[in-house]
Amino acid sequence: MADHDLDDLFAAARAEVAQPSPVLMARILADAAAVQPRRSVPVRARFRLGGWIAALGGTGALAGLATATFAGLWIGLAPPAAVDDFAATLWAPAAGDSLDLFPDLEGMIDDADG
Amino acid sequence: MARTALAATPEPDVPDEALLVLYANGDPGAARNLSGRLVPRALGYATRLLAGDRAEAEDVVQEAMLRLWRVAPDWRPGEARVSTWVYRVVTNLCTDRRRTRMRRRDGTLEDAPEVADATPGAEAQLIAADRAAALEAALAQLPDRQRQAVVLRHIEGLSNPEIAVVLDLGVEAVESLTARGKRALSAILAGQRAALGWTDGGDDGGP
Repeated sequence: MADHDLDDLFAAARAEVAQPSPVLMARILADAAAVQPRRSVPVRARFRLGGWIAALGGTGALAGLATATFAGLWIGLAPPAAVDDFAATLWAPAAGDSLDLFPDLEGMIDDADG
Repeated sequence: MARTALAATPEPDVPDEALLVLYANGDPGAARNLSGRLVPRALGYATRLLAGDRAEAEDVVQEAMLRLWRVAPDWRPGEARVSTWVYRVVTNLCTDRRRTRMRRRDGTLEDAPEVADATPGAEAQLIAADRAAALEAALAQLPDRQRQAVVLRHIEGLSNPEIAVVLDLGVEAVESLTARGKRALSAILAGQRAALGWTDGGDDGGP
C-alpha cells in the first residue's frame, strides 16, 4: 500500500472532529462546578480591608485622617510660637496666680449651708 | 440545529493554561471554554484507542477532565501543556481499560469495527466510510503503544517531543513506534486496496 494512500486516510480521519454530545458536556461541566475552588479566599481578603476603610468613612476620610495625624505629630515636635505662647498661658501660670473658673461657687455653697 | 454544547466558542487568544488558572480562581465560564477546546480532541483520541467504543471513550474523557479540574489549583505554570497533560491521562486510562477488557475476554479482540455494510447510497460516501472504518479496524490491530503513537502523530497532529511527553518515552522511541506502526498499517490495509476503491498501481507513481 502506497504511503500517500495511508496519508489520505489519516487526513480524512483528521478532518472528522469528534462532536461531544450535550449530555457528555453537561456531565463534565457538572464535575467542574462540583470541584471548583470557590472564589471566596481572595474576595474575602479584599472585602475585609474594604470593610475597614468603609468603617472609617471611605478613602477620602482615610486621607484626611492621615493628614491630621501628621499635622498633630508635627505641631508636637516643632510647635509654632503662637502655640507655645498659648500653651504657656494655659498650663504654666506664674506662681501665685490662679484661674478661678467659678468665682461665686464658694459663696453659693456657703449660702446653701447657711 | 447547528447549535451544540460547543456553541460557547472559546476565545482563541487565551491560552489553555490561563483558562485553567481562571477556573482555579473560581471563574464560572472557564470550565466551559476549556472543555470546548479539549473535549472534542480527547474524545476522538479515546474513541480510537478504545477501538470505536464511544460510550467507554466518553467515560474516559469525563474522568480525565475531572482529574484536570482537581489538579487545577496545584497546576504549575510552564511545566506542561494542558492538552498534552490531558492526552497523557486519556492514554493511561484507555490502556487500563483495554487491559481490563482483554483479561475479561481472555485475550481475544472480538470487537474491532468491521468494514461498513454495502447499503445503498452514493458510492463515494460508501468508499469514504469504508476507508474510515478500515483505518479504525487496522489501528485496532496494532499493539497499544504503536497505535497511540500513530494516532497522536498522524491524526491528532502532535510533534514527536509532545508524544514523548504523553507516552513517557524518549523521542527516538516515538519515532521508531510511529514508523513501525505505519508499516504495520500498510501491511494490514494492503489486502483491501481494491475493496476500498484504490486501483492497483494506478496513482502510486512507482515503476
